[in-house]
Amino acid sequence: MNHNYKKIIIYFFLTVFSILIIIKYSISFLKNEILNVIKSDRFDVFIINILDQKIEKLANTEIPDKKKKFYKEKIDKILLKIKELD
Amino acid sequence: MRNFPYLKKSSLVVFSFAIFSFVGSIYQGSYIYDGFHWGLISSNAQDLLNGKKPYKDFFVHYGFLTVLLQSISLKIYNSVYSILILSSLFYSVSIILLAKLIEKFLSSNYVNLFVFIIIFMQPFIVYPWHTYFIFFTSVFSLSLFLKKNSISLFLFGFFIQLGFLFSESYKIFSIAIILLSIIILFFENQKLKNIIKKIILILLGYLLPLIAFIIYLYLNNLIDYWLLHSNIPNIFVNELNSNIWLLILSFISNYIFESINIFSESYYILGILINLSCIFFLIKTAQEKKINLDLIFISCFSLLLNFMLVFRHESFRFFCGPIIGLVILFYFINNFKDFNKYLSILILLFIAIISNPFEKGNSNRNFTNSNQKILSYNDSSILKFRGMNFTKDTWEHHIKLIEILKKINNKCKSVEFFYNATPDHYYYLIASDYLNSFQKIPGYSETTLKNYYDSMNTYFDSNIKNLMIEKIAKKNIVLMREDYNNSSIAIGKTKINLDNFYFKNLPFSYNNKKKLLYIPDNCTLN
Repeated sequence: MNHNYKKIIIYFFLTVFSILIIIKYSISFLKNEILNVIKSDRFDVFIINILDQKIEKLANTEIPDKKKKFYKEKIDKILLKIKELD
Repeated sequence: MRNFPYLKKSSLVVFSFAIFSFVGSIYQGSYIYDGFHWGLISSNAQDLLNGKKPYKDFFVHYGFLTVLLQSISLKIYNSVYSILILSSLFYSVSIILLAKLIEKFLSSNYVNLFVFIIIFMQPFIVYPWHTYFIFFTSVFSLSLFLKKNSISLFLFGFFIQLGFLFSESYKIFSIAIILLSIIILFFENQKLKNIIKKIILILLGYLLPLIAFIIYLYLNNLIDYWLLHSNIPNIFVNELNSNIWLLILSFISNYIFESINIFSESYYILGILINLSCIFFLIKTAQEKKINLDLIFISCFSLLLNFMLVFRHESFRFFCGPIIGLVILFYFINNFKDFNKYLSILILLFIAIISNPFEKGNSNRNFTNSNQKILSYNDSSILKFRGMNFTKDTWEHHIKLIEILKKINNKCKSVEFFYNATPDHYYYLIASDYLNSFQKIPGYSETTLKNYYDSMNTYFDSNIKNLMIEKIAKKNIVLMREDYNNSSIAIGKTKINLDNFYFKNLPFSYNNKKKLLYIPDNCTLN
């Protein structure tokens, strides 16, 4: 095979491999960062605060009858499932 | 290197990596809470230290020598951590031996390439498992066989047998390798008298440890119990609703189809390359007049070690067995002309790097993210976990358990036994410091793993149900259970009433989830 062709093939593989490796390591870096955030105490506090805020908001706003019915039905359904355990 | 003229650059690379792997394995492993695997082997080791008879009083999962070695390390440091150190040490030493083997046939550049591949594809140990002991005996015995003097051949047979004693799954492999070594000796141009002498030495080395082991079993009346353990492969095959031929078929199809996932399973491609090069080498040799018997032996050795992957194809098993065939793959690459050689090395480098040990995956299953490490710490109050780093909730869970067990010990003299009805075998390990146990398998599951434990109990602990009925009636037992709030405990198909028991909740933890400790009602702790 011509020397130039060999060079081109090597460079081609080198480029493709480099791109794939960069993609893989970047995704992995992102995944690790996300996991780091999710498993941190700060994230727990954040989630609790959001939950508190949503409950507070729900408690202080007018709930339409349609929504009230929906909440009641769903909560009753969950309670029934818990009662089944006893 | 002027002061160390005997120390080659490649040796320095290998030794540095071995130390890195050893330290890294211990460091990473110390953050892992794995009550099923690590708990099982540490419970076995503890049982032996407590004077229980192997096979008869407790279930030996793989091999007696594994339990013996792990119990010695547990005796020295009295923590799961010591077993972790032991496995890490064996892996690092095996890596050095395999590097030496590569250096025997090829230049030091290939040793560096080997280290590069291992750094990216399997730098650290995954479990404190017998697999790492097998890796050591395989590589060491192979190196001994290639020396071919009287002592080395005797030791070759000896270490192959040790492999069997480390793990009984090594049985067929060890017999095949001994037969193969004898055939190889016949192909060497030597006098018949010499060949026979060598064969006797190999067989002597192979049989001596086995005879010593059988004498030990005989003196302790354990032979029948040991023979019962030969059913283990059948149990696992039945568990999978399969048979050995289907497993082999799925092993081959796994190799072909899983290799497509190059991003997450690149070790499959390395496996295919290694196996194909070994097969191709054997075919090529059959057509040639001048043959290299040593490389033929390595090819066969590597191909046969694929048995480790038939039951479960996992990367750490591959890197403790068929990886030996890398010698053959490198041998082919070395014989390529410039362009093909560079391209092959480039592909190998790519396969290695893409494996990525910096995330939780096949190349580094114990990878722990930094926040997890920050939240974990060592609590010296639990001796069995000395050196280990767990999160606060895990420590609180176990500290509470120990607190209750101590109270039971002080206040309820009638309570003598502990039964672990969870697959977290650490409970068994911890409780063995305070109470006795009659469980041969250190765990049980009333939920997800029930079938697995039931089939194991059928073979190895068939009397467990009667013993449980008796102890529960006598109210001299406490039971650790999963969150399965029911007034009866199921062992197999039998349900044993627990009306005369009350339970205490252990604090919830991410690793342990919710667990309940059932205590007889005549044992009041408050």
